[in-house]
Amino acid sequence: MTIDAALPSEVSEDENLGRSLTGLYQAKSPSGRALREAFVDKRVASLSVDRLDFAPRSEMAHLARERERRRNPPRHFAGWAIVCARWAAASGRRVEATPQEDNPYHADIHLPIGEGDSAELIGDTRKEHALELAAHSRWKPAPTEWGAP
Amino acid sequence: MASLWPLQSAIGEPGLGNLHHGSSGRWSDVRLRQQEEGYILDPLNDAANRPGRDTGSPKTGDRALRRFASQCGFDLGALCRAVESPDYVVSAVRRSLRSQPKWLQPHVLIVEDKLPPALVRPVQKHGTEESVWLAEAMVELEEIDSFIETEGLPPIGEYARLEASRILKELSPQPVAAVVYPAEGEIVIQFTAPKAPEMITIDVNNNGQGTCFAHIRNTNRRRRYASSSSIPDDFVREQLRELSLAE
Repeated sequence: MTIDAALPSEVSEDENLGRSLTGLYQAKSPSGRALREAFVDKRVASLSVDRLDFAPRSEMAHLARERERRRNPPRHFAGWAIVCARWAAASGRRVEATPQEDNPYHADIHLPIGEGDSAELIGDTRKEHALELAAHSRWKPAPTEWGAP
Repeated sequence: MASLWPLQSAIGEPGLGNLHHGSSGRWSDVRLRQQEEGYILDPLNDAANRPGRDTGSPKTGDRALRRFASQCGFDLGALCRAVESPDYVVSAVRRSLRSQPKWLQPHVLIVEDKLPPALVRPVQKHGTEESVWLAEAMVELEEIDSFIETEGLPPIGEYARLEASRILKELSPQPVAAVVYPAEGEIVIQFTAPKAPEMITIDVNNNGQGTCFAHIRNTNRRRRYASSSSIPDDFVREQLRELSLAE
């Protein structure tokens, strides 16, 4: 991927998608993979990720740090759990480019959660998908020297 | 391969007696046969390990032991010969070098220095051996409160902690290392294959329930448990067995 290339509206299967994470994950990532909880978000049916191949590393890290600082309470950006878009779109998941005003590189991994499912089933489904994503991920701490995935 | 293991129930436990560092510099009241965990390690000093021969300079063996302990992530306290048997060196593990420096209580290392170098003799518990990763995982379990606070997670109850500890110990004979961390209302024990994209998690919930999730050979499996006391069962052990075979 060429840095600073035009940002495609569609996420290609070869893209690297990064889920920005905080201190717990930096301390404990095993075997270069992310913790399962890196891909768990009980509040929504999709996972926010950054499209990492279209901007300089410094810009991506800056966006992530600012985003974590704005949280309540503020969090320390520790790095990314990176998963290839090919795997992000497996097992019924759907990847969609969803640029935001403060983050043009934003994308969502939509989870196949049924509206009528019980809370317990929804919780298990989230974790199951999170485990699969984490198993296929690699941990990239911040600050990072960006290289080939 | 020789390795190191801290005993976790040597000091202050009923029936084990107390360890005293007397004026003579020797430990007393060490009841080695009653230890529940840990195993015997022979130092790396060849001279100390040839059966029937003098052990050579104790200091040589002690230095080798300290060096080896350091490599394993432990800083040993004073080394003393156990009264009960001159074949045993007893030492308190002062701190783990891998975690934040702190006193590990109560950990005692027992070393036998008259065995051949290749022999590591575990103290058998229920006929199984325990793996090296357990000590690190237990430290992580102790440290979950700091992450609960920084991540803004709800507190974890005592029962979930005890269950997580029990499960870790029962699963420690298998070789895949576990990472322990808190999540919302539960403790997660995660096993990750060293290279293959395969992973298992065991969730120990505050409400006494448990769940096992597995992603192995691109297949997702899970099992819920009305009570975490059912973990580990054959399902969990089979998932871990498959994970251990992953390359």
